[in-house]
Amino acid sequence: MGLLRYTLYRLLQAIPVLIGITIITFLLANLAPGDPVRLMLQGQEVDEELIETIEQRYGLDQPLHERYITYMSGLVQGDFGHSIHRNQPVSDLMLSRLGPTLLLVLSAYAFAIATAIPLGIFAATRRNDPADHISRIVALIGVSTPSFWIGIMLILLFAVQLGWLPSSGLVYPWWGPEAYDWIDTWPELLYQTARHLLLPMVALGTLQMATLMRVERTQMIESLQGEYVKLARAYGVPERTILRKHAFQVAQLPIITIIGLNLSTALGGAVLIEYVFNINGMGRLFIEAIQSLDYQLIMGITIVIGTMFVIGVIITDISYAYIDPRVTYGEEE
Amino acid sequence: MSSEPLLRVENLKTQFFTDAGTVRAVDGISFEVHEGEIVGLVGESGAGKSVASMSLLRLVEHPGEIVGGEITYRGETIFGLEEGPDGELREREDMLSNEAVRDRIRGNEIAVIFQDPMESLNPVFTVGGQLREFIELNRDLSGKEARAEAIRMLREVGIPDPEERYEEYPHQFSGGMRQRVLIAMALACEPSLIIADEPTTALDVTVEGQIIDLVDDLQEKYGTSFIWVTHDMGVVAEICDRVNVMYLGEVIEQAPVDELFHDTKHPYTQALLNSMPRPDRTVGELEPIEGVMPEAISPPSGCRFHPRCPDAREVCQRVHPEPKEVARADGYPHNAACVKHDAFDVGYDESPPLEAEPRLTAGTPGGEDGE
Amino acid sequence: MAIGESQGGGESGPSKEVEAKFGWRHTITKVKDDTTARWGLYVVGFVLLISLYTLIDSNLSRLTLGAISDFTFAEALPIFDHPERIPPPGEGEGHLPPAFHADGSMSYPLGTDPNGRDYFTRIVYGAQVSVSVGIVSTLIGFVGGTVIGSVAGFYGGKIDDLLMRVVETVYAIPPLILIIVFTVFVSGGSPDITYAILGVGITFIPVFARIIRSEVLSIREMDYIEAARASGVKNRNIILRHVIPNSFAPVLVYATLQIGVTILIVAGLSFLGYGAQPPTPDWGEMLNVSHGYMHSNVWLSVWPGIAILITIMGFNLFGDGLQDALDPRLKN
Repeated sequence: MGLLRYTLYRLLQAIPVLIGITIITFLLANLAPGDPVRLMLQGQEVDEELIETIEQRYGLDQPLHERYITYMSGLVQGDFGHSIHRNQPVSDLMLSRLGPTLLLVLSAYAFAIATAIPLGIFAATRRNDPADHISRIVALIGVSTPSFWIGIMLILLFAVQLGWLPSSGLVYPWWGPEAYDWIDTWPELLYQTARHLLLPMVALGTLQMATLMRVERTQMIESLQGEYVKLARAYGVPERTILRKHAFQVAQLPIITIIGLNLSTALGGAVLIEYVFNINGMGRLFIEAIQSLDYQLIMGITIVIGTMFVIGVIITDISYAYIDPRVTYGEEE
Repeated sequence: MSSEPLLRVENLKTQFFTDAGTVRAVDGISFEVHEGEIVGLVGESGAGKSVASMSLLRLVEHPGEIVGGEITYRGETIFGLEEGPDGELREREDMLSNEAVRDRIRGNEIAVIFQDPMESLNPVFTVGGQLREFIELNRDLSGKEARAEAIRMLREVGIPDPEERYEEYPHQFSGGMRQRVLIAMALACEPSLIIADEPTTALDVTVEGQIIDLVDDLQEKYGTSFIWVTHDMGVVAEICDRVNVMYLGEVIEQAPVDELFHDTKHPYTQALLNSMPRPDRTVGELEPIEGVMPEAISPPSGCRFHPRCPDAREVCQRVHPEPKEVARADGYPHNAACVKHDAFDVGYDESPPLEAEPRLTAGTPGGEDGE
Repeated sequence: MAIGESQGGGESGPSKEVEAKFGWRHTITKVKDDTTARWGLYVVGFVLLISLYTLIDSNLSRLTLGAISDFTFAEALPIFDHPERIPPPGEGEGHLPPAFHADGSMSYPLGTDPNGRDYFTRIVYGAQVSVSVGIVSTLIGFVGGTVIGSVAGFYGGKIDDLLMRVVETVYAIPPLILIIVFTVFVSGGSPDITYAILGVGITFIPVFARIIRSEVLSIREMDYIEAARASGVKNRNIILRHVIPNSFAPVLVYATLQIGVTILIVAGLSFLGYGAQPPTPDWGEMLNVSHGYMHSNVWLSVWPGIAILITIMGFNLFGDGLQDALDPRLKN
């Protein structure tokens, strides 16, 4: 199978998972005690007739499986339904929130990869040295600290105490400088984006960095013990080339998989980080939706975030297949 | 001895400094390799053969270290110590630097074929790419020439369609084919000496035969010297010119191959030969070596083989024999480290025997287990 | 004599080692020898001890849950000398800074929260909440996962396919999001810590099931299972007596690490207000409250985070050490 067919195959494979996501969220949202409209009103005294009218209008009086079919037939056409609470199409609400979350998650990943890989290799080559022990302790703290607390600490230090960086909001480069009356030029816009992004990026990226660094270290140690490294040494290959080429290439394969799977943690973490830093992304929208029990919106967001994860995993799978010659493009399953 | 040897190893000592203590993996071995000959390094697993052969390239892995002796290759000192003015041992001035060993010795003068063909090739690079990299590194060839040379060598070692297979990855090759690739790799660098570290152990018997024939042919064609590390006396008989038998870090017998087989001077060598299947004997006649080899961290006193030796006498517990010339054949000495020979003269004949004792306490059937 | 000894040792040494490698005693010795695991055990033990103590001491629970008490945890400790008891600040009288501050008092080592409750007492009490949340929800996932995973792995076929589909689906939704949705909807809009525990536990059932399943799949092919089958042992008994005990060790490592993950997630949940509810002294909940006082009292946000960090680090250290003990391949 070629790479293109493998991609198609993986996309097809993802369909049951995507359907599964809709079933789980749909069941959770609809099997809750009390019907959605009453839940949404959160105990406010309202006319029974009004509730019935609302339910009829949004098809909530239909049996569960029919509602699911209606929902799904809308979904395949890109219609996520209508938010009763906000009186707006769910897709409209989500569209403007997608960019900030993607910017945040991708930059956190960039930060994590750019720091974790050199540090992991460094630790692997100085195994059991003080430098290795320090890096391992840092990694341990990294995987043990809640990202939102790191965010709070960064705000306290760099925004509240030192006043160097802003503590909330983002500047969106795709809006252009004309959207901000306090920004004139493009370089200034990008500078402001970076300034706003820095703290949330570090807060969200630390866990990823720590995880990747641990994996990178063990993978490099294992790879450096490989027979192929011994062979390269025996043929006079300089140690630097061995590290950068022979051992590194093999060690990167598991890293790619981990990056894909960790997207789940990163997207979950984005909810907390967007909340702490007041970033208007999907995560914050999710919290707003939860607070108002806007079940159509909650379903939409859950499905979109689940889809983002699935796509992320497919991308990493494909790059894995591209890099590792041993992968026979998924014929085994 | 005819001319100046290609490689001379004298009193080489390599030790591993572990938490449990110092392991004397190689404990003062000496041997020579001449131009165009295949020298065997034989012994059970754990005898120190592989460590010895890696020491020749100064590629002993942590926590191991070469602590003494001299390795001379074509007059150049790969390893050598001398006593400094303060009485401390220090590296000799003419000893090659790490860079010199890496750039001038490894690959282009002494190449290696490892035991495990499945693991020795890097899984993420093409076979051809790996060959070409080592050729470019060790010979003055451009990328294009190195590629042509790699393909020529693949053909030389009997890989069909070398041009297509050049682009393939190791996992697309069988074990025997990968071992051929490794042989091609070694020969392509045009070294004068190839260390073959149990190159056929991981292979099927039929493939093993093919590989040995191939090496035999190519050795004749290119005139390369070999150090053939193995635990298999059968392979030794088939391919080697001269043999060094190792036991617990020491060479206990060295002789030309026919001499070793027909006029064995050391009981351990005899035991190895007796445990080897031969067409003229039934399986029932095989004699396993009693007991297991002790660990190099706490070797027995005296002769290290005495706890397992059928000829052991009381004197063997006390006297540690260095190999001495006990006979001569084809212009080479036949050395053995066993006090029963007259050359030692430590009172073996008068010493009371330790007979039967090992048999009474020996618990493990079958001494020589494969690796 | 020497000959006999060396050979006797040579004979029994390897076989004993092989046997011990799979035994519990071997694991325990390894954990004792492993610095990482030992430190993890100390930290976990310390946190567990505190939790147990706060569970037994009824005074403490009284003084953490809203009512202003006439003494603090620090005053109850014999290591501090308190000649004069400082009366607690009244409810709503604002927060006292930590003791190292000029306005602080050793009776309130970490100061008080905005309601005038001693922060140190609440932090100490928080251990109980975090640890029980971590252990109970991991236990739910563990037990549920063991049952489902061993059945799916042992029987294979359609049950297995279905399980794998569910696992893949649950994997695809970030746990925090799935758990919030679960907690909020199942509780009918009024989430609390019980629903959070339940949500975390149920969410991780498929994850545990998957690990058990792969263990079972490899064990299923072992000779002794074949032998048991051939001699007519019932499937249920094979699962209970052979499969589950043998797949236990790797799952135990995972469970230990999972406790840390669980505490991390529940902290996030409580921080957003969907886990522990005030006045429960949960670290996440305390961070939620202190978030509103970030500019007036910095320290309120610091202490609960450090407590979370230490606790999770303990479980992670212990889990890592356990992993090293059971899989010595990557050990230094």
